[in-house]
Formats: sequence, C-alpha cells, structure tokens
Amino acid sequence: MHWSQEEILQTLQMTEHEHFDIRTVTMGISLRDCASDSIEGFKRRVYDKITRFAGGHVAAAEKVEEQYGIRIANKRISVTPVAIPGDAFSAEQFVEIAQVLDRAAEECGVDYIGGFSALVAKGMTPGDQALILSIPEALASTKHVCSSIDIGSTRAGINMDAVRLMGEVILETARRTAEDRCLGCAKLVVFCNAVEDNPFIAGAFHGVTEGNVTLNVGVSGPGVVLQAVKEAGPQATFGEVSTAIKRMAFKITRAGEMMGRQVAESQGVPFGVVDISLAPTPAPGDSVGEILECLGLERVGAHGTTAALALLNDSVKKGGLMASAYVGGMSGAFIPVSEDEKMIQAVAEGHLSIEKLESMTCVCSVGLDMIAVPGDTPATTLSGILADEAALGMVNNKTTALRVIPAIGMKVGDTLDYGGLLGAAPVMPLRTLDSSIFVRRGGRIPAPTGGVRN
Amino acid sequence: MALSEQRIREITRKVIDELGPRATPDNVRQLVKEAVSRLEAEGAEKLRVPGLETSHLGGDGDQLIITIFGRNKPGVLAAVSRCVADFQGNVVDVSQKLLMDWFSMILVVDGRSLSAPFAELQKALRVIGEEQGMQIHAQHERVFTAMHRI
Repeated sequence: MHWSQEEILQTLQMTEHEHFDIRTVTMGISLRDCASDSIEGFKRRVYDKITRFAGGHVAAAEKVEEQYGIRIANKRISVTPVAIPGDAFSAEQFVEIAQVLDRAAEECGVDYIGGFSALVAKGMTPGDQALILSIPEALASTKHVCSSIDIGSTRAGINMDAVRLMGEVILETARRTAEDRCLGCAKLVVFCNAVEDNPFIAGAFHGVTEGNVTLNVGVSGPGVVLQAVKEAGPQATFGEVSTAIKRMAFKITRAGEMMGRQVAESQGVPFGVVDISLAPTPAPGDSVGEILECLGLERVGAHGTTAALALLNDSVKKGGLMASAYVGGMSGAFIPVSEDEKMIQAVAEGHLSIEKLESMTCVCSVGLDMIAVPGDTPATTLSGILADEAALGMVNNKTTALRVIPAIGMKVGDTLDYGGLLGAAPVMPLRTLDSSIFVRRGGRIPAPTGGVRN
Repeated sequence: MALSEQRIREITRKVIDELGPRATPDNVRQLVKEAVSRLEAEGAEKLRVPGLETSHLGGDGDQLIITIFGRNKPGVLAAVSRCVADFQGNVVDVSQKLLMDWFSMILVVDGRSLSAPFAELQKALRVIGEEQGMQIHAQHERVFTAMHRI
C-alpha cells in the first residue's frame, strides 16, 4: 500500500470529525466585456455571461466532492467590481444591476455572489460614487449579492471622503435591513489593500488584473489545526507548535489545490490560487479562538492573545506556501466575532474589547469582522473605526477590513443572533467620544513612506 | 474554455456576413452555437493542466481507497468485497484491525477495470454501509497522495 493505515485514518479523522472541508470554490468572472451604454444591454450581458460560465459550477463542484469524499462547503461566484464596467450608470441603475446579479446567482444555484464593489483607494469616479450610494437599497433588495469597497492602500493612502461616506452607508444599510437583523451589513466589507483573488465572501471580487474567468479555492480547517496543536501538547515549544501547524496547513492546502484544480479543469477554466485561511464557523470545534486558548490562554483576550494569533497566522501561511506554488487571497486566520464560538464567549464575558480586536487585526489576515455595535452609533464614529482599521493596513502593508453591524434598536449586552453560518454577535461597547471633525476634514490621508518604495 | 462576449459577437457577425441574404435567426443561432462549442472544446484542450503542474498533487494513479468502520459482525467483508467484484474492481491490498468488538478495514482497489463510474460504486457501498450499520467511505487515491506525500 502506498499509504500507511495511520495516514488514511488521519485523512478520514480530519474530514469526518474535525470539520476539514474545502470552504469555497469561487468562480471569478470578468464583466469588463459587458460594458454598454444602455442599462438594459448591460444587464442582459451580465446575466448571460454569468449564467453561461457558472451555470454548471455547482454540479462540477459536487461531482469532485463526491469523488474525493471531502466536502466543498460553498460554491460561489465573484465578478469584476461592478463600478468599473458600470461606470456610466446612476445609483438607481446600480440597484437594478444588483438585482440582476441576484437573479444570476439564483439561476446558478450559488448562495452568494461577490463583486458589487468599487475600488476607490485614491479617488472616486461618478460611477464609483453612484455604486456606493446604491449599496443600502441594493443589499436590502437582494439576497445573494455581497458588496465590498476598497478605500485605501499602502501606495495611495486613505480616501477619507470614501471613509466618511462608508460610515453613512453602513448605518443606512443597517437601518434598511433592520427588520432582518441588519443582515445587509453582514454582506458589506470595507477594505484597505483589498486583494484581487480572494475567494471568500463577503469580500470576494474578480480583480481587474485577472483574466476572463478563473477559479480560486478557499481552504479552511480550524478544527484540524486545533487537533494538531492539541497533539503537540502543552509542553511543546513555540518552534514545535509552529511546525505542527505548518505540517497540517501543508496537508489541507494540498488537498484543496488538488480538488480546486479538478473543479477548474472539469469546467475548462484556468485555476487561480489557493487561499489557505482558517475561517471559523459557529460549530463546536471549528473555532480559531479555541486554537488560541489551546496554545495556553485562559480565554481569547488574555494578554498574549495577539502573539498567539501572530504565531498561528504565520505558521498557516508558511505551511500553505510550501504546499502550493499559487497561494493567494487572504491566507492566514480570520477572526470574525459572531462566527466563532470562543470569540462570542470572550466578548460576552467581557474579555475582548474592540481595541484588543483591533490589535489582533495587525497580525491576522483580515480585520474587524462581524462585530455588532450599538444601533445608535453615529456614522462618524463608524468612519473613525474604519479609518483606524485602514491605517493599520496602510502602514503595515497588509489587508485590513471592516465588517461592522450597527444593531438597530439594540444596546450593549444584547445579542444579534443570526443562527447558521453567521452565528451570533454580542453588541460591543464603543468609545462614545466624538470623531466627527476629524472624519469630515475631507481629502486623502497621504501614503506612508512605506508606500514609496521604488 | 468559454469564449468572451466580444469573441461571440465577432463570430455572430462573421456568420451573418457569410450567410448574406440566407441568414435567418434560426440558422445563425445554430451555426454560432456549433462554432462556439468547437472553439471552446479546442480551448479547453489547450488549457488542460500539464502533468508537471499536477504531478505533486497525486499524479494519474487510479486506485480507490475504501475504509470501513463499525461494530464487528459477520458478513461485512463479504458484502463489501462482493460489491467491489460486481463492479469488476480488483482488490490489490487489504488491511484490517479489530479492537474489542470494533472493526476497521482498508481496501485498496484498482479502479481501472471498474465496469461503471466510480460514483456508482460509491452509491452501492453507501447502501451496504446503511444495511450493515457500518461507516463506509470510498475515496480516490489522489486525496491521500496530495496530503501525505511531498
């Protein structure tokens, strides 16, 4: 036999008991050739192209899933940031475009489609602005559409006009979807240094430097990494723990790439990247927070949490980089509060503040994610949070993001409960100090010296 | 690989030009459809990932790994091997372990001689698993090679 019994059993243990799955296979589709001067023509081309390319996506992924006995949890679609091919349209027309994306997603049988997006790190075109203004209505009137806006980068600095606008848009999106637990905000991400090949929703879009169609795969597995850390034991040194995590990240990246390539090949689409990201779900044993606790912290939020997360994030990346030539996307660890059993617990028990989460985002792969805040938070305070988070990304040359949910009608101590994959977010306290004069200055925060590297 | 909107529009224009006055919506649609599927098939052929890119991920082997777990009872091995034989699969390796009355077994099957698609065998094994009250998994070898071999 080519494999030992232990190896075969380990693989089964991972898939059957430790929640190892391919988290997503995401087909990226360029909409650049759909541009049209008529809104009806544009909508028709967008719908036709998406359904023609991704019509068989779910079936192809299911076939590969069956053959290898590893679950592909989500089959998704990302498209070119819609503001680019739709630059000529108005906010009302962008709402119609979002509804077309929604219908195309429905037709293809995917749960989410990402790319209702604009890239405005340095400035906004009229089309960018129209798309941003259309977001509350677009997200309130669709089910499958996800939106992301890139408002800063290490090269360009931070577009503070967009930051101010996004504070208002987030709040309005929460209000417009208040009856549905402010769900619109769970489908809206604001980035600094957004990546163009991220397969993970809600921030997925098909970057402008990508080809016509590509298939990216997102591999996850907090459960298997937790098991590796457990097996290393409490006496293991940091080097030993890092090696244990790397070995596991290597294995799951390999399996992910192999399956991703099969899904891509069966549809005649070029394979893009593997994004090896520990993305937790609320299921027991599928928590990034639990890995941090297993490293020796009483609770997430204890002093040492940031260091533990840095070790975890770096080890995951290294294992993934060794396993595949095409590692991309976010690749690291996600720390969405509502989607992680141990993070929810830490917030509910008062161990995890927004400031501690902010510092954790300096060393993890994304940012402040799925955080509920009081519904009466002013838009300028949301913009302040966003500016802080973007500054961390800009200065440290990394992706940071904000997915925050102003829980309309709720206050600190309440819990916004989504159930399912989105989990439950305890409403977190914020500073009540005023940031409005700062936020309203307008213009752009200049790029840091680190952004001028030529 | 699927063609771009632009390319399909070009093909359509060409077809209309060539047909001239004979062009009708039906024959244009038919000819464009044929041309697109031919070009897409050619493109897919060219795009096939070369061996070098995938060899590290498990290569072209065609063995199937069947794992069986559950409380030991008579007839399990017989049922599984009969099922494999019915599909013309050739068992090339077997290992089994018995711990108290718990039973685990791994069968390696050469999949090249299978008389039906792999998914059919998987389905049949799942039925046996349910009948026997055992967990039976059947997976292609690539997943193990990808994970456990550099």
